[in-house]
Amino acid sequence: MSFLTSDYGAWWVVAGVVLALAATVLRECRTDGVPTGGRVTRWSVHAALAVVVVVLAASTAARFATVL
Amino acid sequence: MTAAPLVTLRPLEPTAHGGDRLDTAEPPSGPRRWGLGAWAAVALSALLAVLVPVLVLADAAVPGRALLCVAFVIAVPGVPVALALRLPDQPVTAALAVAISPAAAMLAATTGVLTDAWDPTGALLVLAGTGLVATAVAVTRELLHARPVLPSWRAAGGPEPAVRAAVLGLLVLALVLWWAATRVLDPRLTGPAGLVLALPWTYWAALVLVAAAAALALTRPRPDHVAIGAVVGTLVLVAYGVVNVADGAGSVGAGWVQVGFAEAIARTGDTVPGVDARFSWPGFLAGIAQLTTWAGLPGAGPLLVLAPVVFELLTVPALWVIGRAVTASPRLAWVGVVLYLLVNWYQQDYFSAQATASVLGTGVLAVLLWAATAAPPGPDDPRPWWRRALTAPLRLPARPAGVDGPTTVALDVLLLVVLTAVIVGHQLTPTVLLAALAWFVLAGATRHRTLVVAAFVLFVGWFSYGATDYWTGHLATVFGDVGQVGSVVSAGVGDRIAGDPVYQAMQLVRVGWTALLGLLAAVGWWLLRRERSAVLVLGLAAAPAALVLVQSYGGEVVIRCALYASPFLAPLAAVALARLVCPARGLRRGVPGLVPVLVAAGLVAGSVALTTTRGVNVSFEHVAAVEVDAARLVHASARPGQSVAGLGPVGPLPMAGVGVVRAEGLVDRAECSDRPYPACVAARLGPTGDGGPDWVYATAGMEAEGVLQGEQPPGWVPAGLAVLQQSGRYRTVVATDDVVVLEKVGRVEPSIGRNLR
Repeated sequence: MSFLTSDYGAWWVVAGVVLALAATVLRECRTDGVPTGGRVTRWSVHAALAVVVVVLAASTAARFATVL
Repeated sequence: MTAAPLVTLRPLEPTAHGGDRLDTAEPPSGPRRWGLGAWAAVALSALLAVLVPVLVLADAAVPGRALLCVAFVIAVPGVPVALALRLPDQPVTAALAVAISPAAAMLAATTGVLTDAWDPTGALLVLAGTGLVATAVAVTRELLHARPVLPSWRAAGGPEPAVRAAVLGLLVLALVLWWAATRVLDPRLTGPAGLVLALPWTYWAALVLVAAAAALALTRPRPDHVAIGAVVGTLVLVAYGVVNVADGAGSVGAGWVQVGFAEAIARTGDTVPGVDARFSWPGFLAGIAQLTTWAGLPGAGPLLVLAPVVFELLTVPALWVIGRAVTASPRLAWVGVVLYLLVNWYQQDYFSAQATASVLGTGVLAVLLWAATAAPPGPDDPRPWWRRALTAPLRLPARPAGVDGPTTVALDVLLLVVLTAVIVGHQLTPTVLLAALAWFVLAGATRHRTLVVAAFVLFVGWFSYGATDYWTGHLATVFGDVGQVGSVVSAGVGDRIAGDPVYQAMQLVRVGWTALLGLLAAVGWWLLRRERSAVLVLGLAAAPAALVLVQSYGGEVVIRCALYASPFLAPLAAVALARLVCPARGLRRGVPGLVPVLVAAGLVAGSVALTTTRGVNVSFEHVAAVEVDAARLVHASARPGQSVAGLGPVGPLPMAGVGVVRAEGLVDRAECSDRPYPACVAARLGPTGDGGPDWVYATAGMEAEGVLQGEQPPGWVPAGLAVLQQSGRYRTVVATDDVVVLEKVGRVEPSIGRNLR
């Protein structure tokens, strides 16, 4: 649990933003009408983004809990 | 690739609600060649990107340096970056440009603070360099993508020179009268009724002329956007700038608090922990500290004078884009802008983080709403509405015509920059913005879904890791109001209608003015209920109300809800008003000029209502220049660690000294409710008379605030000062009708300065 409450959590923010932008690029940039990257790549990025969101939310809840 | 005309702003046949409907079925359009305005803007931006760094590096004390630095913050690098995108819609480009530049400046400054690498000059060079590179890219793309100038709404009609000249002539005359009004206006003459009874006739004459110009410009067969824009700019200056220009100083004490915080950052290169929650959102404060350093100003005080005017003008492009998206009519979009300005009595546009965040946030919403409404509609979905609603978040709308994939990615990045600045700059605005963004996703109205996720990640991340100083001490405050709708509304409305009976009545007028806008907006939405974007607009207008569910924000959240909803309520109300004017259109053959007269009369009435409602608090919110001088004297004279006390929460005293002197109230009025104020002051002094602060600062505004809002009897400030003066422990340093400053000394002969009125 400690990694969730440490200041390293800020890096999760960076990871989330990078993954979100990567998902945008994969969605918008197409070659001959086909989205960039394969289906697996796009789903992997989205899954990783979901993990980041969940971890960040859990981290925040844990930090709040330390105060409460 | 074939060139295509600009799709937007092409008035065709009148709609059922009286506007000029855009032909949304028109073939797709792409970017067109820059007009004179775009070339002028990019040239000015490039000039600023060169000139301002030269002035700063040379530390040249030239007149207008501060003004150039402000222009730099507004235009660099936003103008060239937005133009480089080559969006097929110039108003959207303008809305984006004025959001990007301040956001970039705020983020550059915040980065310096967070990394302990405070370097305003370095940040300036980075921003200027970015602006120049973007200028090169924008100009190159423009030249390489040169396309013939195709017919557009502007080319199809063109302005009427005589009408434009008449409008501009009326506005010049209005400005002359307004300036004359500011020379004779004495805000000290305002009472519980506010500014309305203190204004000279020249001010009202100016408003009538502005209304006449507006009516003339708005009711022409083809709206002249230059003329209407000039009307809007003049209205903002006349109605929003009159008090500050008359005083020669910025009003609203909370703005001076921000000046003090920014001064602390400029002095130390860091925030001051443990002093105020606002340091946990340092974006605006750091940006202002950076700006004052560039400008060579000792503080941001001079920037307060025209801050409301500048903030409102910067919001106009976004308001217009939102209005056009809602009403599908350029003319009604302008009417919406005017209505927004006429009902904006909330005075949240003073020099503050929230005003900046509001400009940026409105810009983001405008771009996203444009993208949603400019996108070609999808095929009809025969499924039941509830199944469509359930699957809407999964829907990926088409891009607006003329916007390709890379441009969409770039737009995502730029909007994220703006959102980041909002998130690190203000506590409340991001929550409203995220609610609105979530509604875009839920309604299936945006393809920028990952932008919304990124904004959510940034918001949670900043609150969790960046604003730790705030929530470690205020978690109960953060979550204590969740679900307490009744108490939040009571704190935001009922508790504010208190004090002097006339003052209470004026507060009710304010509530009624906003309620009228809400009522008209409801009618307008009903008229548009079958439009494609009706549900989206309804949700965006209602999204700010979610704040009531979670936070009282010190009793201000109801006002903020109205403020944040206004960009959507105003154009909806414009639709309703247009329907009301429609019968008059039928009469105008028999009564020439009836519609312009009706519009002018309505605008005059609205302007009077704006002046009345916006000026209610002037008696205690206005700041005289001598008050600023006195506060400056206090901070120049006070030694580190000394205590400096004001008698109330208004005035410019917080303009400096954060982290140097101990700022405090002379007496906590809440704890003094059961005794006369002088008795509380005497208790503060203690039996030896030594218990008082080192400096005491009192203004006429504090007296008025106590009477109107604090249930103090008239004369409470002079009575409190008399106790101090008669103690023999204080000498009078400054004594004018506006401000009194006392300094604690050894025992001296009692003396009484001139009492405040």
